[in-house]
Amino acid sequence: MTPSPLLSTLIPLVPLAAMAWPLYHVIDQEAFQQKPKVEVKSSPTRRADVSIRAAHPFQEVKITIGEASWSFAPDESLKEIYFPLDDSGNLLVAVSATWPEGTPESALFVEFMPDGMETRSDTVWGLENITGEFEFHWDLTP
Amino acid sequence: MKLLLVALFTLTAHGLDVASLHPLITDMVNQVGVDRVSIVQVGKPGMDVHQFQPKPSDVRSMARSRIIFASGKGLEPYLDDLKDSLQAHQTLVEVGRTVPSQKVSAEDQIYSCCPHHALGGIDPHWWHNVRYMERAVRVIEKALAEADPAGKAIYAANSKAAVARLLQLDRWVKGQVATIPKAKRHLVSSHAAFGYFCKAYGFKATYVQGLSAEGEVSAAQLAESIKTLRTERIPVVFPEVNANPKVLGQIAKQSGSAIADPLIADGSVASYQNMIMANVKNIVTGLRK
Repeated sequence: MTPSPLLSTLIPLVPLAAMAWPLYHVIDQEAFQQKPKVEVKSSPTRRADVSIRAAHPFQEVKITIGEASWSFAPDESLKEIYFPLDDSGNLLVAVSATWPEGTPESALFVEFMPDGMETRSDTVWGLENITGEFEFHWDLTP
Repeated sequence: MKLLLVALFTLTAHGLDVASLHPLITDMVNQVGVDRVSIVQVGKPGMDVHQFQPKPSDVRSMARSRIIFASGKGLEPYLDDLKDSLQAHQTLVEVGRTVPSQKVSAEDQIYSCCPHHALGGIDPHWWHNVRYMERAVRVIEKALAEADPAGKAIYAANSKAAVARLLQLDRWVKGQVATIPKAKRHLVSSHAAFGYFCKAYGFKATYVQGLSAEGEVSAAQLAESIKTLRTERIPVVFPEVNANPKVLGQIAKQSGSAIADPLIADGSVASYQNMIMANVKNIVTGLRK
């Protein structure tokens, strides 16, 4: 039995009619608004040699700048690091050092030698396990 | 295959081929490379570092060199031309590049070592601060290790030993300077070549032998220098090795200042340590009188 011409025309339109409602929701949306771009200013990265000198043999020394840190093994005294320095020229460096038990009060001398910039240094003192913070500053005006 | 050829070309039986354009740099490359490098010494002791230009034969002698070490900081005005002539396997390393630059101040421009550096540029005599030579040693170590990774540990150990010697030398300089009364730490030299030394070791610097744009000393500048020496009651002036002492002698004579033994300004000697020690001994002897 052959369907009527009207039915034959309407049957292929059934899937389209079924999609009409979801398509309506997709199409009937507010125009996309581009959010204004927020410029993220990253500090330029600089290279530096960091040297340490300890009064007594240490177990570990760790230098931390922001979220980055560098560990010195007992036989290490120099590291090449890359660190961010913003226009203010201020840098906060955290230093922690551990000496073997029984080591008398000791000192750790840290020197920062960034390329093309003056050396900055400081010393932390302590017993067996110490943490210190250095604030270094460089005048970056050309 | 290409890597193998480069390796064979650069690391021959007699070591890594390198070249040096300045005698003090040769000394330091020798200390870090020891017998693992073979150095073509283009800049030899006694050279006039401000007038030197490599001849075609010098360029040919560096053809095998994997690294060409220069002092940098504008000392070698021919470096741009040299860079253009480098081959694919060659690298030019300016060992003074990590050193903080000191500019020749506007008032000191006429006292520059040569017309080339009298243009308000950077003072190229960075080696007079011993701690800066320590930075240079690390640049040399890194360059050698990059060109010859198999020798990395050896270069690191040699560099550490060289830095230890430099730290000892720096302490010695400070100890010697401490014997000069603070009020007498006034270094009067011919040209603006000791700015790094004076800043590092706490001297006031005065220069008396001015240059005109043509590199000549004018009568007005002579008179000004004599006036400065008289006003500041300078007891002693320091001439420079390899510089004509005639004008300085004239200035000293007319101002009543004594002339000390000469200082080595341009580092045109074979041993860095000997140069620093000779200079400091002359300064201490001259100023303690």
